[in-house]
Amino acid sequence: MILSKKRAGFSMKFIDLHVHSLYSSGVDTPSRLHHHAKELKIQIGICDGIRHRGFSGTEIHASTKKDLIQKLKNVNRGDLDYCIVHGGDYKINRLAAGDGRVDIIAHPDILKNGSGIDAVIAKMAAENGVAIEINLGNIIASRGTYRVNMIKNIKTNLMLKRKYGFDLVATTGAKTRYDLRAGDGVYELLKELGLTDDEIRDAMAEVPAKILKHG
Amino acid sequence: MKLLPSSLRSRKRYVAFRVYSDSDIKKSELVKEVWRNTIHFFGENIASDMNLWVMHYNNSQGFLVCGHKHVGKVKAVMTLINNINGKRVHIIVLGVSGTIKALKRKFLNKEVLFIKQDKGQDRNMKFMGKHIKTKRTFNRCIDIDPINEELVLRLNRYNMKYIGLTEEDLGGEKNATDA
Repeated sequence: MILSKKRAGFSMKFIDLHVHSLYSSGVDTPSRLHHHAKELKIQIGICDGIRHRGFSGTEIHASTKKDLIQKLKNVNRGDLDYCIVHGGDYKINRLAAGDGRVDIIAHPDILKNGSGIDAVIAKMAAENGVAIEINLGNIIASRGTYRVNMIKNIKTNLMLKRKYGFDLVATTGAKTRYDLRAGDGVYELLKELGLTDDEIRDAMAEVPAKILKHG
Repeated sequence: MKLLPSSLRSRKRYVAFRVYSDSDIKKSELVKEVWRNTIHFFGENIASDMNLWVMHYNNSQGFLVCGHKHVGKVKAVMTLINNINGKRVHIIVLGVSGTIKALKRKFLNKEVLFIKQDKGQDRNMKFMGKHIKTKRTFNRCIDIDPINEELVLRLNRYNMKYIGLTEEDLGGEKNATDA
């Protein structure tokens, strides 16, 4: 499907579910972030582990499998719309992909050592409805070989998504108001990374909307 | 040298943008960063096809010109810029037009002044139980100095100067309740 000019331009819908405010690791208050998001014509979900106005979620950082299991038990899903697990470790990625309570695995890549997603994790993520994150903030903030590895890992995950059918979700991982990005810029960046129009629409709006609906 | 006939000249698009930052950004710094990001991300070969040129930049707003087939690539480059000369920035593309006249009419017609420097004005306001001094204001937005050591470290890590609040945040953290 080819997006219309209008769709591909300023009205490109973007729901960014990975944003941090002052109450976790950011520097702006939730209301300031919402104000900036409104200017960019995007919607945001703030993952501080606290209920805010608008969409709210949590990001779990776990060092071991045991730690992750314990933290997942403690998440109050009644109050929060979604749950993100900070990946980057193969064992954590695998455990999170097999747990239906997890909505998104963030930063799944292990830098030089691969994308953090293999065929086993890809199958599990597809079965359990766990989405894998494309963190544009990491690409924006990095330079040189570091950025090359990031893009390579995203392309590997894209190849696995096309084979196994798990969901990809685009986020900025914003910690400041200046890290948020408008929908048209994100669309163009994802297009340069090799995603098709349908895949971009899913990653930017359809999958986040599905996560928020199920949460 | 004679100009090419109009049928052989490349078609242009003008892209209006606005730069948000805690510090003032000079045009030369911006131009350098746009080119650096273009060449880093797309390479010299594609950058040469883009016919990119930052034409005007003043008081946080400006526009650049590029080939009509490369508007998407320019938007991608603008999305990638987050730092100019060690200062944290955010560039918003306001719109694209085929002529400068239309661009100015549609996107650059508003008052350029959108940030008011307060120079540490004490308005006797409280945030997180502490008295604050506002540094800049814009609409309902207020920029303040960090109120504790942890926030100083965070701001340094992100190359920023101010914490961002809105008027809603003053007078208590009404919208944040522990889960």
